[in-house]
Amino acid sequence: MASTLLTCANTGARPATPALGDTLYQEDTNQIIVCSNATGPVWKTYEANGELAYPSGLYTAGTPYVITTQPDMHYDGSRINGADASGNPAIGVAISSWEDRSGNSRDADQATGADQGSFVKMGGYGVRMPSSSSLGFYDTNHTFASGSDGMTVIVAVTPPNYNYYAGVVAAAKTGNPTPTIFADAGIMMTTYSAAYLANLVHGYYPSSYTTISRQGPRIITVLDGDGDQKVFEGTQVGYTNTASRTPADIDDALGGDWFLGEGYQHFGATASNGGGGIFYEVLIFRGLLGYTVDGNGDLDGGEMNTVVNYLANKYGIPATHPYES
Amino acid sequence: MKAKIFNTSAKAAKSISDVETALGIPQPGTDKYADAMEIINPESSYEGKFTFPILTEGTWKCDQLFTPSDLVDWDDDWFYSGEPPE
Repeated sequence: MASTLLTCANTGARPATPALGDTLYQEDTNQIIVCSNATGPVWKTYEANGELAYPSGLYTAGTPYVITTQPDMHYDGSRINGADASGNPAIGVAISSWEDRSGNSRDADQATGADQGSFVKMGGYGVRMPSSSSLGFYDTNHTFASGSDGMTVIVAVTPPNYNYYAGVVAAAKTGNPTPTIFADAGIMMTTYSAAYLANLVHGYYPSSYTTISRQGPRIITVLDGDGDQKVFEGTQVGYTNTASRTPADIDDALGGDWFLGEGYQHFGATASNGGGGIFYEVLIFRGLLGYTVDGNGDLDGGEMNTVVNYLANKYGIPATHPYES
Repeated sequence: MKAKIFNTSAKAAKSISDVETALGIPQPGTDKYADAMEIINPESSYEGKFTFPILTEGTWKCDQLFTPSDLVDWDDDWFYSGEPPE
């Protein structure tokens, strides 16, 4: 059966003189393209997942979610090989390497079987950590170069059923082999799965959403730099502060490798309380991702908002209404 | 998840080695099955003994290699003692 939609093989094969509104299927990228301006011409591209584009990414432009800031690392549960679904294992199979899709080749590795997460489909595809708060993590083997402005970490996760100072995404302090204290910089969760900004001076700031249901999927963003600290749950502000940070504080906090699931405890549940936490997607940025907020302090613009809305669309998580119990 | 309790780290390591042989470890991406872990919680009757996780599902399921009566339930509290530093 012939396609009922006009097709083109690739960008170079797009019609040279389309009419406004002409719509085709582009075969190499699996995108619907629509001519939005016949002069040029200008094409808008669409796809089911609404992919995120950035300078060295799998997509660099032409998607609904485009940012110009390159993430340092980007892990996507639907692309375990960092490229496409062809490397995804069967459901339940252990994952030794969750490959970076940012273009930076900073894969998150775990060579010990009992510490490996497993591939799951819980709405979206993801990596479920072992059902233990003392097992399970991935090492990105990447440390920020000194002199950064701070950090921005954005995750789509389902927390474990119970945890206690669990590292979700954390950087080891200068000189430490792993994030071993309860407030190494990044995102942490504690009792009842409240999200915390593990800040750049080895303390923590809790999100105000302390009654959020434990086992729902959530988008959590933390940012910490000189004069600016934030926690967002979806687009809703969970914490804000303006504490000063010195360059030495920042370098010390971010002086070791970044880890997924490592901290005072791991991102897994206690054995008696059910399954471990699930990572769907993780983005780590060196520095402060741009954002704007409305009069309530909620996220309403900038590249951070673009990333949050990309994740919300992809995983069907309402960005403006965090799950609450 | 289950566990087996050993009096020495050497005995735990030997059992881990047996598990690795049965599971075909090492293999690409996976260098070892697990590390022997010391139980440090003074409130546990197993304090000072050694153990390792014995997975009951997934790729590295290995509880079938052990006699069921030799196994106990895994307990994360074995590895924590007191509150984190403030």
